[in-house]
Amino acid sequence: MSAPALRARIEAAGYGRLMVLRDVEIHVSEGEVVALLGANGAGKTTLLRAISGLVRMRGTVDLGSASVTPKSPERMARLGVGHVPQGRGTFPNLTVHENLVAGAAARRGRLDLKADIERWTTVFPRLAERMQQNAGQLSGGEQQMLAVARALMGRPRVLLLDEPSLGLAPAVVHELFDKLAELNRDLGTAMLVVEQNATAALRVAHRGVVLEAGRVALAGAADELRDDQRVRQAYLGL
Amino acid sequence: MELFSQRLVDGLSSGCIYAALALAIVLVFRATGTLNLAQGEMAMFCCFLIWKLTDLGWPLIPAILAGVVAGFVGGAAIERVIIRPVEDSRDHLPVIIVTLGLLLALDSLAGGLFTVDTETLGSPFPSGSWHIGQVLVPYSSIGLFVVISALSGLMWFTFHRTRLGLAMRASVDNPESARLLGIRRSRMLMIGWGAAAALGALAAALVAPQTYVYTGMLQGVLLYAFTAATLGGFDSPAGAVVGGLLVGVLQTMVSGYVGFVGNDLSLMTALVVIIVVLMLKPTGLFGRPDSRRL
Amino acid sequence: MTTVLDRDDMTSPDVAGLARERWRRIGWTVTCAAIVLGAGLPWLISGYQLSQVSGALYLSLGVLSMNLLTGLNGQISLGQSAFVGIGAYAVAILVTDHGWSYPAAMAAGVVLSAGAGVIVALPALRLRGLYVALTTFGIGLVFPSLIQKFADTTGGTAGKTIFPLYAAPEAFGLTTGEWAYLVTLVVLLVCLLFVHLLKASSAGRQIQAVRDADVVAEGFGVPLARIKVATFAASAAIAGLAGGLFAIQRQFVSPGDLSLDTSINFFVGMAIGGSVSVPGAVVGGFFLQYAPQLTQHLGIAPIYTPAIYGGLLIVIIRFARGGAAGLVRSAIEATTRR
Repeated sequence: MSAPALRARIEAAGYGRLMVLRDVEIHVSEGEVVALLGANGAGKTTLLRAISGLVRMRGTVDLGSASVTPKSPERMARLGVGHVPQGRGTFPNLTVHENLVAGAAARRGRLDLKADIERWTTVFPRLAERMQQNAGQLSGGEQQMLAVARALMGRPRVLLLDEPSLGLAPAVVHELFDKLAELNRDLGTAMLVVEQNATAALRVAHRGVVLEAGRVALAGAADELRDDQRVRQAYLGL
Repeated sequence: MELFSQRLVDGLSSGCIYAALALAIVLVFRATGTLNLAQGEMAMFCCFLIWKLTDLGWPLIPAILAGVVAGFVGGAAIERVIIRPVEDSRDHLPVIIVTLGLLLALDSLAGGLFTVDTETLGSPFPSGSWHIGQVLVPYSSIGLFVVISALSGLMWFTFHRTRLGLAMRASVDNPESARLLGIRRSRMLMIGWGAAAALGALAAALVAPQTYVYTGMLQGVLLYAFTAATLGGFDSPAGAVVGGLLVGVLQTMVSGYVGFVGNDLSLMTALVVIIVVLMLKPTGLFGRPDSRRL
Repeated sequence: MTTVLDRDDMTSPDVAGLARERWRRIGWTVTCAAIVLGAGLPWLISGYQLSQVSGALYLSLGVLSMNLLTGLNGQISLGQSAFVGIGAYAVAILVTDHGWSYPAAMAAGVVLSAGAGVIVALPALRLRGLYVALTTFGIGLVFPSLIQKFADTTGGTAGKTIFPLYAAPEAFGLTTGEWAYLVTLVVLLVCLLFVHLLKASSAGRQIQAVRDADVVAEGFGVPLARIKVATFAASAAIAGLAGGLFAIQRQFVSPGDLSLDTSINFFVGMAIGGSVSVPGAVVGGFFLQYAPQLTQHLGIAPIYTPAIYGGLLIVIIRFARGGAAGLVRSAIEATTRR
């Protein structure tokens, strides 16, 4: 297996005195999609937020050759962490085009943003039709695609996705995960996807990790997890 | 009719100053989501600096530029050192109170460090007027109009056509997402406050030939500027400019035509406008209806 | 401490209970001593010194009006000087030009102030804190120009001398200065007691619930609008009363004493004493009266006094939101820990 794109060793992370995560280690190899599963409150979102510096943590995050303790999201973005937050986090009063341009904020020097924008709008053709509309006017599915495309504008080393299926119709979820799989296949972007919808996530993921009460309870290849009795009962509703 | 036109010209002329200071208020509001009650005092302080430089023999224009630069640096420093530590996105009171403290401090420091006397500052524009029939259009008014138009244009360009401006708007629209994209919110805040203070310094220098330079020189002007920002919408630079011009014209017309109001109740008119706008249309003419942070 | 407004909560329940008990005992002892001393003061110090203490008491009442509004209710007013002004000018005009008695004129001033408070508070209902700060800022700024506009009755910028003097009943054998002092003292004590009792009452708890969380309070059936308007009116009434006392003490009113700066000073006084503390209001009032002299003693030019106020305001908001009362409380709490 190649060197990991992301390796996070978290001794503790949380809000104020409340520690949500304890001794969690997780890695995503280059070109790999990892699904992060678990019940509500298991610490999935906290894990993503700790990696991108939004939540205070003790431990280290390795990105390629760099090894840091995340302190600020701005810094982590520059180190190559792309984070699509829960609820999409688009800029509602900026146009789709402006949202995309803002996605490249962490990159330096003269950029050929046109080429990048064209590339992502070929992947997400629906965005191309709405370039001059404010993001706030887009449907939920379109906003989610915009959020993903915006994160990709920063050319991240690893893409963190927090509940991308939240609030979307099943057909849209299906389409979205197809796109994510396509992106991963064509570009080899490493992804760490937090999902309640385990079926959808495990369909495109290579591996899965299950969090329970702030610790890793189970980890393995995606198809193994799909067949695991415990996972089936707890997260797949079977 | 001539009198009316003359008043229109005079009103637009003072409106330009209100617009400039209102732009500063809007900049701070867009960056920090709060009001800087010391905006006028910061500008006044810079104006004293400009006066001091001319007093030391500097030519006017370089002195004004130096004052504007000092405003930018000072504004950014104040944001970083004094405002930031008490910033709280859920509660605006601490920041407001701190700006109140700034107001007191700058007022007193300006008097102590410079002078408590009233000083004069020359106009950067040529004296004399352009005659259109019976109506006098002072060159200084034309100059003001040109400067303010250029500034508004520059601001619009910065916000809508540069990556810095986009980053600032993104940072206001969704601070957390902006940070996740690598936009340094703290830098945006400093730039916002710095630019606001620089604008204020320029406005003060341009209004100084009429108001003279003293510690209270901008107290009334600040209220008119707040009125302009309220009327235009606190988050709208275009609104600040239109609001400023409207308030300037309204003020001259009401003072001129409503005998009871005259000069004494001119400030009162401004306050009434603020209250009426807040009651009827709190977002102002150009503000976004979803200004949830107000 | 999540807001500007310090709250009366403490760290752990048992320490808090003990500390509060001690706090209360010390508090009452100090209060009783202060009242006895205050009543005897006219016979202890010179007339000039007494007039200064009178000034401090008037300022305390002004600060108390801010405590009620900002500290307890979470509304901000930068127009308090205008309410004080209404009370002061009511006495000046009604007594001098219309022959009213002082108590009647003061009462009228209180009613007018409270009425003005309601008028200001009504639009504030639909607006958030930021806008209320803005409108009251405007009111504080505009008030002196109103006095100027009606110069025929108010005397304009030159001010207005109040005549006849407010003499003490002959049986008391007091000078007008001593009499003004005692009246001020009694009025202040009554108001302090009022706010103290209010704070612990069910109405007081509703007032504070509004401050802590508008939306939540409304969910629990607190009549938000009524509470806000009523508190604003009560605060304005107290400020108007302070204005009446100011008029009695000085026998002269002028807009220079009632500018925006006066409002900001009350604000500083509140922050110094502690925004939720009733005795803190007195600390704030005495601070405002004596700080200028103190700084002068220290060799600082008087022109820098406001700079010191401003600096203090900034420092308090950043480091000690409880003001003096908060510091005393944490000190007591610290010594209570075993």
